[in-house]
Amino acid sequence: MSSTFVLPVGPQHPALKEPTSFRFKVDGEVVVDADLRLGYNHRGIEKGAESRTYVQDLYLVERICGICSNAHMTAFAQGVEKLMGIEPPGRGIYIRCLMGELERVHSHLLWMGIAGHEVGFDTFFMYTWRDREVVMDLLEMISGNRVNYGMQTFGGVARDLAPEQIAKVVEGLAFLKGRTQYYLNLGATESTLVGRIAGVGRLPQEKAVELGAVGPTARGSGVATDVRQDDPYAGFGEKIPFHICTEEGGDVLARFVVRAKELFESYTLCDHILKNLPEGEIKVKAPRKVPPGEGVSRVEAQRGELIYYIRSNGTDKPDRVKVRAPSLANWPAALYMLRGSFVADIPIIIAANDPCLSCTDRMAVLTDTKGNEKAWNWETLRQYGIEFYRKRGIRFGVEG
Amino acid sequence: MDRDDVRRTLQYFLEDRMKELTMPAPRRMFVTIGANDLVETCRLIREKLMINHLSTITGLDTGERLEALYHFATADLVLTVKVPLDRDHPILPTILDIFPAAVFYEREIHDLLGIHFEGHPDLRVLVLPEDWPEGIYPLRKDWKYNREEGVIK
Repeated sequence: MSSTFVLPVGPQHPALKEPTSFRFKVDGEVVVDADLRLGYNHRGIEKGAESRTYVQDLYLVERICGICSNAHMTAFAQGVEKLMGIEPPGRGIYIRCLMGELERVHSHLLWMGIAGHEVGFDTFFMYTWRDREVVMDLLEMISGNRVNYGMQTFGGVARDLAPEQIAKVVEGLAFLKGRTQYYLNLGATESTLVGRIAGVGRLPQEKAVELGAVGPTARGSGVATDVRQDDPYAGFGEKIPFHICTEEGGDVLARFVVRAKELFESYTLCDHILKNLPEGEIKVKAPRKVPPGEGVSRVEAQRGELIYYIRSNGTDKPDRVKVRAPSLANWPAALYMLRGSFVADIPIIIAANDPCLSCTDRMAVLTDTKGNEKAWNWETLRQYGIEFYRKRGIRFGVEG
Repeated sequence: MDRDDVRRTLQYFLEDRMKELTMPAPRRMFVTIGANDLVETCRLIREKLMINHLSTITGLDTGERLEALYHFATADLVLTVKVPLDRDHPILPTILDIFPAAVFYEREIHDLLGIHFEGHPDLRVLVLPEDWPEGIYPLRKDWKYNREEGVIK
């Protein structure tokens, strides 16, 4: 005789520190059915984009996600460039690719740490996150920021690379290459780790295709799909040769190995970019207004295919900006993997897709005025900030 | 199947039901059809063109009408199927039995634009708050958000 009951998990959920809500129908330790409720991070970005100019939107879409901010910016910038009819110069394109690959390196290292943490291997988490600081420092050196780099702009990139910066990037990546080899050996041979992730969260190839999985989730199930290969953007393809990484296993282990291999591919790509970096301008001048038209722009973000649909109407504001981030595309596959799994495997199965809830949710409105004393308006918040820093001896220019 | 084959196959099977076909870029194809032909077109795309990846569905409001855009991706093409809809009766058939990946995309558009997907087994609210008023669709052009002033006590 079996009996089931419903186990609510979330909105504060077990994998990442972001809100989404699950309802698991469980029979003992086995998950029979899984349901999902999104929207806790909806911020109205697509609606907001319609009332802002293209340049404002560029920085708005960058804030859809902290981890793949550069991927969002690249996708939006290249989509709008197509509508404007401008083409970034060679050096701009190479730096654009370099930023994308460095961002992938930091994201995959971050994911490895989280995966280690979810299976109770916190040493691994400490190691990968320590090493991730190397690439974070490189990103900060190039762009001035640890997240939200602000590097992409219409017609190219915002900052150039100096020769001494290139030397530092080469040095940093050489170090990470050695570390990644260590992680790959560990992930593929260390028996407790392998025992914990092999065979967990199975997704057969035909299901991955049917459910529209993207990125490392699809590639871990043997689906050879990568926007860098299928729909080469920026310099990929002819100028920057790219090799796709797939695994046949269809479990969390396969997703781990795919990401480790992609790290090596990213190091190779960065190496190629830096060795063949063309001289010259980094951007061309872009018009303020965009002629009427529509376009689809795709980028391989760290988590998979990121697609933008942009419709312009001849003004300096877009008519419609639609964003589909990879995390949303992977949810149907995640629910499939969760069915039939053990309750104890829920966190790692969810984390194996590297879900980003800020990406999944993009559009809702905060209406917190139900007598909540903590609901502050913008001016109060600003005053609080000024007071906060004044007490600590920091004065802002506006105060005279 | 290359891009020309895709174009020829669509023209052969859909004939004059295909209202428009444009290729603004080498890897981008836009096709306009009516809502009644959507299921047949999707079946054609899945079975004859062998395209199995639905990237997403875009819903939009032009002010006069609603549009649903189905973006299908292959190894060398993004095929966008555009379906114009009447603003007062926006009803589309679901394509879940052909492309199961559409499940959340259809629910999201149902929430935000009020397009009803006939045959979708589960059109519960996905992304909007639970207390969101019925019949208000925030992505429509006539919906404007006025931020209420916060309360300071």
